[in-house]
Amino acid sequence: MSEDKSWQTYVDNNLVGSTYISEAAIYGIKGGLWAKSEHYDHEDDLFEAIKKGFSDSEFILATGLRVRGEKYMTLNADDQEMKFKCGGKGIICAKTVQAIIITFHTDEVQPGNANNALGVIADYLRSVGF
Amino acid sequence: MPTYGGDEVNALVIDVGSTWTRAGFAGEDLPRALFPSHVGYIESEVDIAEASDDPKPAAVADTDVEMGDASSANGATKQQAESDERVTAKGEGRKQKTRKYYVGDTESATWRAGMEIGGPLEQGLVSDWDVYEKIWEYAFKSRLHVRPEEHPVMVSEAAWNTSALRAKLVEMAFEKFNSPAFYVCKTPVLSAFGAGKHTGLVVDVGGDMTSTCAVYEGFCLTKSLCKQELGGELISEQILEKLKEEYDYELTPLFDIKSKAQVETLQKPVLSKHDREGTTSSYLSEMRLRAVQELKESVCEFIERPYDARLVGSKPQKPFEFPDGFNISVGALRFAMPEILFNPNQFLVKRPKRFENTSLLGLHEMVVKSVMASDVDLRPQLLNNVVLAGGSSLFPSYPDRMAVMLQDACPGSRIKFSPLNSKTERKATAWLGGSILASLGTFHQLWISRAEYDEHGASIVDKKCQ
Repeated sequence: MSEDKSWQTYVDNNLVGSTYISEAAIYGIKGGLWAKSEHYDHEDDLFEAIKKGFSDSEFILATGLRVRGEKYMTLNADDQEMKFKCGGKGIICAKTVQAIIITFHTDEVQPGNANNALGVIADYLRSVGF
Repeated sequence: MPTYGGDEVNALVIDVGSTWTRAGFAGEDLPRALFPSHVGYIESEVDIAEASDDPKPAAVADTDVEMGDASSANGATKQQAESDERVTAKGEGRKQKTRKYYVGDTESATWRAGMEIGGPLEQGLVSDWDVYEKIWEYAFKSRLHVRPEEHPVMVSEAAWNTSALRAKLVEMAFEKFNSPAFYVCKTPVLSAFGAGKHTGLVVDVGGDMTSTCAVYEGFCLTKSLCKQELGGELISEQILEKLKEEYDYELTPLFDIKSKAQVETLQKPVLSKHDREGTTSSYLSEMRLRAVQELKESVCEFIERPYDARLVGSKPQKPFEFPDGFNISVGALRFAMPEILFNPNQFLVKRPKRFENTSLLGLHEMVVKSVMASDVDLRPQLLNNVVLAGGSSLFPSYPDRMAVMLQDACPGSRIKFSPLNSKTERKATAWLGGSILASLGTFHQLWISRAEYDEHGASIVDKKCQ
């Protein structure tokens, strides 16, 4: 099983597959897209902004994110997890040992459930050194 | 995933504060149970030989574990006293310390030899789990008359609650109370919902703690949180100090008064005390605080502008008579005491030890600090939706004064307060928010069910309850 296929499995089965997450992407911590869901069409500058946010939480707390012309407010940000919100929609990101995972959820989903779906995977990856 | 139909199931909503506990049913306007969080307890030692070697709760024989019906109106007698045994092993030897608890308004106020008073929280966080559990038990069994295993429970937590404490909380709900479902929500979010807002700046002036926090779309922005250990109880203590300083008067609470005589204004009280042996210092100070609360609630109010001696001098005085007959005409004191909230450094009569090396902030300064810690684009919306909550915010003219202070601090911004609730609502704003949240149709997807807890463990609370 190639590495690409296993990262893709996380996206398809565990993230988007949970039904709570609408779009997801997994990047390597230094850059490089490892897997993404079918509808994820964001440019790498979204990843760059998120990567910066993980190391400079003050900055991203004050500025938030701009995605598809909409402003997402930063709810909280530390070096492991970041959450953004725009009305009922949200972006939840996790930083594991080797990867940065970016997920989106729509306003039809309760944020807690999307958070849980990502959290379970992120914790697992950290526990096995990924 | 198991869901709970929002309409049929009646969830329990419980909000334990440092001074007052509010509990009731989701969907209702007011908490059916409202009682002090400070409970009485008597500690005694039991020979280990009597109890089993393996300490178990409520194992000791002869005690009356009568669940008194709290709805009957008679004064508390020993028969109706709500009590329970807790056997805790302490230290070596053949002795064990056990505590008998007395929860509720009358039960905790009744004089008993050797009864101490204790509370469940310290700086807003649960520190005494025994007392906290007793409060839940009393609320559910004696006041609401429900079996907790039949109802989902919605709980409030401080905005600065820790992961470890939340884990303990969810464990308690599922293991000790066998709740079928559970959710915990931060107080600022609940207060905002209680005021009909999902976004706003929540200013909560409680008994022990004062906090300001931004809430965005039902989510608490913890980085914007600003808190101080300064609230209603501190103001009551300061009033006692001021009475001592200005009138050389030491308040005698009701339980200790055998007889009193009518005296002229400012004349020393003429009374005879019971002077009962076995009165603990914690009980005495608690009763003093409750007595001075009457003074605070009936005569204190905010002056409409920052404190000015001349302006205060022109305001009418209010007469007040203490339980022991001592009566005064309250003048400047009644404006100077609430002023502590806006200008603590200047108006604290006797600065408590814990503030020795810190400079304290006024309420309006805390609000500005919270607003500045939030996203730039969010700030105008926060100032336009300021939610006033907390029992200590019930002083007359509080909203007007707050408006003046905020407008001064943020010139050019539009300051607007959330719809002013009735006084009873402001004392239970967070509880009301919990009642609203737990009865929403969409909310039933959010509960942590027993099955989820069994599968994932206590850590699920950090993921699902944000």
